[in-house]
Amino acid sequence: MNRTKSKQKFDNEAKVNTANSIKRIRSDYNQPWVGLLRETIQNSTDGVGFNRLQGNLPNEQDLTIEFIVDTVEKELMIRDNAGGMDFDTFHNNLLAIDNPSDDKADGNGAGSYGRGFWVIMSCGEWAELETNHTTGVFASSVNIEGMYDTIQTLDEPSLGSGDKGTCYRIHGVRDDDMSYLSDWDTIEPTLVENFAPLLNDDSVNIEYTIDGETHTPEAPDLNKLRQEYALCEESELEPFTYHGEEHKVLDFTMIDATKMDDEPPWTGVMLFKGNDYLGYPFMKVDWYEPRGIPSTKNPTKMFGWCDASDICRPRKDGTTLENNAHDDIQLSRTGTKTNIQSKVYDVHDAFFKDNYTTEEKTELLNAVQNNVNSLLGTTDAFDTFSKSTRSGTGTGPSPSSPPSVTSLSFLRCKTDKYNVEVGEDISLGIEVNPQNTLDYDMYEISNIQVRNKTEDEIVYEVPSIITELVENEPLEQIIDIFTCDEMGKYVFSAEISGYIDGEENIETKDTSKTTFIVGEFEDASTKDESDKNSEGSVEFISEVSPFTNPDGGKAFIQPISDGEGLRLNVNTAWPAFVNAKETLRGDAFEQKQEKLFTDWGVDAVIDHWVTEKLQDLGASKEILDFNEKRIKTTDDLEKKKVMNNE
Amino acid sequence: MNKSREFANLIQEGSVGVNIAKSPWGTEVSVSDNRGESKYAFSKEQLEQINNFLSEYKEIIIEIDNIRKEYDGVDLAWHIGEIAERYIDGEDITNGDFALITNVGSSGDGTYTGQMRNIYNIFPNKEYHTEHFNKSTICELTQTVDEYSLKNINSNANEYNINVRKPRLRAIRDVYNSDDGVSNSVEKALDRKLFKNMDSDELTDVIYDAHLLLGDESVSKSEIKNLILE
Repeated sequence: MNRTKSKQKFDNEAKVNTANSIKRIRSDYNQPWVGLLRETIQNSTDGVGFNRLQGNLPNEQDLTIEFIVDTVEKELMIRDNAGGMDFDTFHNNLLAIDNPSDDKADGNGAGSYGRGFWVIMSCGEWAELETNHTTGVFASSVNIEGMYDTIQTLDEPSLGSGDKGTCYRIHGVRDDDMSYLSDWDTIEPTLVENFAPLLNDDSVNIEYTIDGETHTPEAPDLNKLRQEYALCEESELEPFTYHGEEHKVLDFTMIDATKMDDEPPWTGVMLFKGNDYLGYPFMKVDWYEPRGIPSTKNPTKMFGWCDASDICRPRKDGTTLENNAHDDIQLSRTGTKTNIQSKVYDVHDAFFKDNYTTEEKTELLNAVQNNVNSLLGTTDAFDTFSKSTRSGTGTGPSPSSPPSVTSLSFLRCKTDKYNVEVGEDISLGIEVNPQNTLDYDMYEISNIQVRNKTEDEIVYEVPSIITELVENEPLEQIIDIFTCDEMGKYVFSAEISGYIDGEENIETKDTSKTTFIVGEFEDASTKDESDKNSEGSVEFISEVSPFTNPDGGKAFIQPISDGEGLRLNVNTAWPAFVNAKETLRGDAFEQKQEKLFTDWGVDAVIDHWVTEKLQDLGASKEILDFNEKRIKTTDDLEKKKVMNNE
Repeated sequence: MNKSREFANLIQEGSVGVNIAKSPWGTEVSVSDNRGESKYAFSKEQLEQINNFLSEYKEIIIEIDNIRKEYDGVDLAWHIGEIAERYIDGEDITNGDFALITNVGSSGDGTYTGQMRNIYNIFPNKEYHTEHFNKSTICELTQTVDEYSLKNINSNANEYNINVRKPRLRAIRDVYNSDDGVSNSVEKALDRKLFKNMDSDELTDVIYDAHLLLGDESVSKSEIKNLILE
């Protein structure tokens, strides 16, 4: 039977399981107790604005919001003087789900979905509700399943203080929520972080009483901070377009935390949004935490905030970019898209870019040293470069069957990091260095896999790669980005053999593997071995020093006097480095340096080792010259490839 | 603060170090960065600072390094003086900063650089007699006596075959600065620790030679010896 829409009645409504809906609403909030605080304050702020506009409240009336926590009775009373609701709003909007008032739905308020009340409710078993409005006093009771008593009209308020406003008494507050709601040391910074601008408003009072003790949150005076310590004040940042609509961040401010007497109230940049009544953004809607800008963390040298109201406004298609909980802007890489990141970088560059912190520098150097030393530590060919006097920074054990130098240079498995956090990405790459003569035209790189050595299981595999190799033309390829979900020691490995279509059992030409650690993992066997080898452990690079020479090679090794190890001199005029410097910033530039220096360090140490060995063996001048020419030719080829964007 | 001063300061406080190294393609100059506890720093600003420094000074550091390999003694001082004169003359850089940046002196006071520039200026055609002087004595002499006297000392050292070393250098200073003839120069010399353990004949020779080097042939050894013994 062919049906058309015009013939349908659509006279039945789909059933809604209210209790399940409330559970889902709760699950929209990462921390429902924070949702309770945010939604309460947001509702009161929207309410007072609306009621002032409607003439239900005098414009000069202050807003007071009270939270009264009783841990013994497991009760939470929330009370405001925001003017309350009329019967229809109470009935049709507050006690409804996803049915906001017209005012809220139009985007005039900070809230807009008609869900906030239910996350407040979801923190307990049931609640008494009362709203005192110019049109009357209305009361009901509601439970967590979404059922409520018939709304009664009272002659006078029984829960509230007598002010026009709304009052909830939540019974049976959940233990997990109560543990936070009854801890002022947790509540105060949460209020400050989420409502700092509102707390600066002299006409707004928030009182928080826990078991009879009343507290008032103290937020830093943002205007004062701005006047005294502003590094940057921009009335608007460069707009961005998302799905055809333009948005922009307004009133962007960054503060110099180094000049403040008090600790900064937060790190990064807080994105606040407002409503149409207050005239200023008062509530946190997202938080941009820069990852690669040293002055924003450890220690915090600057922090900031901005007005993100324009990003949260309803779009033409009715959607908004903020999530249901109003605590996240649903853009991937919000900082980048909104141009906040770029501005924070600019401020950092202008005021703090002098140096990495000592900690960061040490971390970066250690990473390069570890990577180089780790790669080279897999062979005993470099024992003469070992630095025997220092302990603890060696690269640990040598494997039982070290590969030869030649095999090391033909196929190399590479990662961009040596240590990663759980959940962090690591780049897996392969490098093939064809020598002067090749036995085959085509080669197969196979058994490309990542093994979790701790669990002894293969956690990642990719199909073989068949590729043509040209003599003396190195091949480098990023295989994939691997996300490390479990702590442990991992080995990334592969092998290479000649390839002839249809032929099998071609001898493996080379194998390669590299190890990386995920999380704060300490491998017992490595530790023991490392301790045992702490005297005489292999350490090649003890210093990295830049030089600049557009016509020079990428790096070279210089023994430091008095047996203090080797200095890796790196050419910062090398095209790959120049390119990275021009295109990358912060963490990305740092990581790229680490990767480049690690690769260069390995090559340079090998070149240095070969040269020394040839000299020890009494090689003729011709051979030594040839060796130098080999090094230069390899560099020239590599440079040419970079210059040609290959 | 100009850029040379800024970088010289960093060297002086040990924050950065200048390395000269042989690379497969020739001599290179790299910079160790010891700021903080790390020997490594590659923020963009530091790279910029290092690059600026190297573009300004790399060639001169390598030139001085080559000079050091090729020459020694007074000749080395002359050549360094020539480079310093050529470079410092047109640039906003002091003798001290030049010394720090090129590792010419052991400290940043610039005295040494200034003395080597003096050697170059006083003997532009290398008219010094290297066999009678070492580098440090002639360097010091450029500041002890005037240009005319130094030229005199140089020719007299050759004429009388006197090797000018530390005792004669000190005696020259005493004679040069004496305004009351030989007795005053002897008196000054006797106050020196350096001469306390010398016997009278040896000290007589030293003071006598100093007079000769400065062109004063009017004194006699016996007169000096008598004054010493008084």
